[in-house]
This record gives sequence, structure tokens and C-alpha cells, in this order.
Amino acid sequence: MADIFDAMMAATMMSGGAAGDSYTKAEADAKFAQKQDALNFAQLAAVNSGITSVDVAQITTNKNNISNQQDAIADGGNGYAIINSIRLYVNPPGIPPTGDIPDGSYGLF
Amino acid sequence: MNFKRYVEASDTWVDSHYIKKTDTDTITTLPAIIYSLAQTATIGLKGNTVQSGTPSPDSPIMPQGTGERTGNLLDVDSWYRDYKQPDGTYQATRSQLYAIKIKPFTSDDIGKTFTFAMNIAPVSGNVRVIANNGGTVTNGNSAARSVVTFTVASVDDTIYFNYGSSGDTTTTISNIMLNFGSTAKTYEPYGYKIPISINNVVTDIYIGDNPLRKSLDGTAYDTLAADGTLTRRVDSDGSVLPTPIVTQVTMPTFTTTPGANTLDVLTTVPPSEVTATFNGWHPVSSAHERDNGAWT
Repeated sequence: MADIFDAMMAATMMSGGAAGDSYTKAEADAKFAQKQDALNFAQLAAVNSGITSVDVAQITTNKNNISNQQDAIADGGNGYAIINSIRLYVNPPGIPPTGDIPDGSYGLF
Repeated sequence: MNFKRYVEASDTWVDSHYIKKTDTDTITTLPAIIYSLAQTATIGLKGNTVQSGTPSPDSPIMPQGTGERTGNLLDVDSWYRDYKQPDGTYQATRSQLYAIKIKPFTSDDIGKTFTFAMNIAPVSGNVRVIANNGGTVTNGNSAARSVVTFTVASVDDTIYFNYGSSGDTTTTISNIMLNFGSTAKTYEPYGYKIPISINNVVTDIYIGDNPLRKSLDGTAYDTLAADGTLTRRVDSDGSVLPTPIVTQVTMPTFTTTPGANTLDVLTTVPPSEVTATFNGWHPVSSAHERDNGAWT
């Protein structure tokens, strides 16, 4: 009996059926998106339920380390950063960077 | 926009933004700091003139240019020009002993002690410098550098050198110097010099008979290029020469050390401008910034 009922209901919805139970394509898409968002949120909540404040701190630390690593692409710790293939040296006031420095490098000192 | 740093001692902000390359710094305030990364630099100069006080017909004041008198009191070329060779030495050939005498003294020199010296080649017994002061003859030593010290007795005193003592020998003399005092000083050419100090090591540029000047109307300058090209545009009275006079002087090597170098010009009248060319850090006057959607 249930199979027959479901088949009848499906046929009614496909043919336009009674008001309140039928949707245009746009309405159906919107409802689908809402359900998808709800599902995503539920999944995210489930994942985040396992993350502690310690984990969040570690993520921040990792981010900073990666950033510092990018700035520390240097030869022997000479203290220059490479930005768009240009070396930028930063030294104490009045003390110019020395060593084998390619032409076109910039300096702040 | 520019990168600047604060100098607490002077309560000022100074440029601190540099680019590394071979370039020329133009300096108008001395002493100056240059940031070289090379072992040497080349230097160029622009003359200057200062007239202290107000001249009048009764008390004229000569304008002073950039340059110091050297210690050599003898304008060698004016006395020995007939013997001058293309290499700058002086040569004489004679089959028997002969003396070339000069009388360079004025009444102001009477009673003062001088030292006269020159290089002689080849060395020979009687080839030497000699002084004759009021009839008293003083022989210098016969050596590669012959030296004699004497006190001037009259304006007719002579100093001379003997040559040609052994047949047709050609004698070459060079580095001829007359200086005040009883000690022979290190040779330097007659005329003017510009002492350049880099990290307190002084190197002289010898510029000939005149200092480097700026015209009194401020429109023209004597210039000395880094390659030794000396262009004189200003006369001794401060007027502009109708045609510039171009000569060549020997430029010394200026030694720098990697890092900050203090550059100074040790003349009474500082030059209008110094140009220093070297591989190192050069100031960048401005950087670009993004302003309302465009880089300015």
C-alpha cells in the first residue's frame, strides 16, 4: 500500500498537484541550498567540536612561522628579505650592509 | 614618500633609503658620509671662490679659490723649461762640467733658511745641487737625491746644479723642489693642491698653477672631472674666461672601505660641489606610493 501511495504522491507533485505541495524550479533550488547549508554547518560543528583553544593557538603559531620563514630567505642570516626577486636589507641606522650584495638591492639603514 | 630615520642628537629626520649600484653621489655639504662597498672611488670637483670683506681701491682683496699652495716654492717649468722632456723630466748633455744657475729669491727671503733638492741620474762625483749665498758656496751631496740647505743672504744668491762631469753624459733631473726650512720635504709639484680626506687618509690632487674658482657673478665654475680633465672657465680676477682652458691632471686613487666612509676636502675654501663615484649604497630621494588608485 505504501508503495502505491508514494507513487501517487509523486505523480501529483510532478503534474502540479495541490497548492502548498508543489514548487517551481527556483523554489526547489533555494530549498536545496538551504538544506545544503544546514548540512555543512552541522558537519563543521561536528568537526569543530574536537578543536580546543590549544589547537587554535598552534594554528596561529604555524601561520607566523610560515610568514617568518618567507622573510628569512637569507644568505647566512644577513638580514635581507626577498620581495619580487629584489633584496631588501634592513640594518641599524648609519651602518650599511656589507658583503656580496647584488646591484639593484635596496637598503634601509 | 620616503623612508627616513630619526636622529635623536640633532632632532632631525634623515634619508635612509638606499639602492646598491655603481653611481655618483653629488655632495655639497662637507664632511659627508659615503657608503662604498668597493675598494676605490673616483672624485670630481667644482670650484668655489670666496672674497672675505669688502675690497676698495686702497685695500683690494683678492678672491680666494679652492686649493692650497703646495710646499714646493720653485716654479720649475719657468726656470728649466729649455730642458724639459715629454716624460716630465729635465735633461742636459754637456761634455764638461757645467752649471745651470737660477736666482729665485726676493728681498722677503733674506735671512730665511731653504732646502733645495732634486733627483739626479746617473749619479756622478760632481753632479749635485749647490747653493751660493753671498759668495759662500755650499755643495749638496752627490747622490740619487741631491740636497743642499742654506740661508739666503741676498736677492743675488743662486742655486744650481752641476752636470756633464764625464764626457757627453746626459744627466736627467726630476722631482725638483725648494722648500722652507732645513729639512728636505717629500717632493710635490709647484702650484696648488686639493687634499681629499677619506677616513682621515689624505690624498692630494695637484691642479697646477691656479686654484679651482667660481666666477664672481656665480655663472661659471672651474671643474675637475674624475678622469683628470681640468676645465678652467674663471680668470684670477673672478671674471668668466672667453674660452675655457682644458688641461689634464693626474688623478690619484682614492681608497675606500666597505661600509661608511667619511669624505672631506681639506681646503680653506671648500669646493662648490664634490662628486664621488663608487659601487655601493646611494641615496634614493623618493619612493612611490599608491594614492587614490594611482602610483605617484
